[in-house]
Amino acid sequence: MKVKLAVAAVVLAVLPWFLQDYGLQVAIQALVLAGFAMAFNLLFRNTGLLSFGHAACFGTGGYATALLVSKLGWNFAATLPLALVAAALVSLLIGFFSVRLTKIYFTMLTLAFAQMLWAVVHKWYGFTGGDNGITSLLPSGLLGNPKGLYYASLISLAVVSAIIHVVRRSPAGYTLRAVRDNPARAEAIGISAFEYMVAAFVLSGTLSGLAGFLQVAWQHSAFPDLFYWTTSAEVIIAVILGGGSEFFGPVVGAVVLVVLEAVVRSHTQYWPLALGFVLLAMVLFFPSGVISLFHRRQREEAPRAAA
Amino acid sequence: MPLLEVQRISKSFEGFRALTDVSLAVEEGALYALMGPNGAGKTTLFNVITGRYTLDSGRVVFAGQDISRTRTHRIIHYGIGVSFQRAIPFPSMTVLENVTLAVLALNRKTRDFARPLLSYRQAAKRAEEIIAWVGLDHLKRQVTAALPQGDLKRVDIALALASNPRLLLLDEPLAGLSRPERVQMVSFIRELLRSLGITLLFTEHDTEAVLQLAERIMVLHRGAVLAEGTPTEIRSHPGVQEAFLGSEA
Repeated sequence: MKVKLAVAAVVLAVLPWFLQDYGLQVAIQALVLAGFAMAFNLLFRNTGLLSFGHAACFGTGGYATALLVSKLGWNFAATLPLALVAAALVSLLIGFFSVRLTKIYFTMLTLAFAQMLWAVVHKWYGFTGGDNGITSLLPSGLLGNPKGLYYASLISLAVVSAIIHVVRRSPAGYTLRAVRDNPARAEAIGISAFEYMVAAFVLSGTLSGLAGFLQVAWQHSAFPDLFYWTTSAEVIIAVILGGGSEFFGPVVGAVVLVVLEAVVRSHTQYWPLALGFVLLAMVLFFPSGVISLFHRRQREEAPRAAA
Repeated sequence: MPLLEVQRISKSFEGFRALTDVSLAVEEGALYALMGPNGAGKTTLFNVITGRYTLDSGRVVFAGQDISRTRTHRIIHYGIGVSFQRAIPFPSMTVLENVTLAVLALNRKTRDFARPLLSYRQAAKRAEEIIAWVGLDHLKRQVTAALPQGDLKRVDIALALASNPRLLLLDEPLAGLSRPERVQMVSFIRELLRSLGITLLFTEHDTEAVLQLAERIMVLHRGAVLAEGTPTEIRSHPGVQEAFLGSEA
């Protein structure tokens, strides 16, 4: 694991020097989605809650930055703390009401919240620019040039992964898994599930807001589709594609999804059709995600060792 | 004063009276059994005491404190250990992680998010001690999902013991076990609690097991108390014989 991680880190660190401009753009997009997918999976993997409303947290991070830059003339990078705070507050609001529900009801409520926010952003021309969005956001300094943004996204992904790793091993992380594994049992060792679920939702949403910030830095604009359900669907697809039960599954899924889309789109306009076939094949033949391909040999040897 | 007192409890579900006017008193150090055929109200009473269900009327008093409306996650902190029916531990964790988490939960350390679980040495040491009590020392690094039923029960009892309880509440601790495992479990529970000085209240529908393990027995039938007394008294109680012959023949 450590060797693979070190190799991946080296490859990612030198990658920009081997990529053309377009390739670099694709790589940045993949890293941003990877960070978003890791943040999403923090909630999904550890609590079992499938949020269909993470676009709300992602979009809030992005729009907070876009509004501060366009309305108040803030420096782009300086908006990051407030973007995170805004994403945290929206997550708190959604999480507080949603984690009381489980399964499909939780999923539907998070979707409803995100769609409500989308409707507001989409129609409020006076403040958000409505469906015209907010454009001509030009980040200065590091975030302003592609290589700089690449490394900023890479570092963000590393930081997000490190946070998730540390939390996951901690008593709080185990507590989340306990609630997921067996809520009644968790109660009966003295744990009140609610606050842990809310906390997990807020952390997951805040880190999603970081991805939204980077997304806006990348596209130099913010549009209501940051809040739209397709954004939530995209992150879910990335996680399923890569494998949500593995730590770096979401990263693999995000990279595969973004690169595949870039390749397919350069040949045909039928990307959604291709995506459909890919997902079909994944669910049928590799239900634990692309990352399971790396583990296939171990997996096949395991039962023999046990027998 | 009894350690646990249940005073005239009633509980209905949508018009169905699951418990009618049930009272009981468990003295400190006792091994107390709630017995009765399936559907007699044992688990309902258990869930009312443990705070999973809210009661319609009556009171539950533990060590002089009214816990009638106290939720499950709070009564643990009063010194009550709980193992639910068909309760399985947390399958994604090892035995040691399971019990360490329970020890940390009692000490209200589960909000900590910076250090690894097993770096809490004192809690892990305490967990190892409890795991040794239930005889699972050799399995402590195993993921619980892979353990057989009998060992799972022991892990679950270890989780309940991690609450440092004065009173242990076990719902059907023998369910799902084979005959020899039952005999083993009965003597295991008796020895363990005697040496730790923990009071036990448990439910069980296996009459023989109850008569072997319990010092005092309450028989429930259709949500009401049919009889209460020592195993010898219960054995010779005419109403009990009738109810059990009626339901099991």
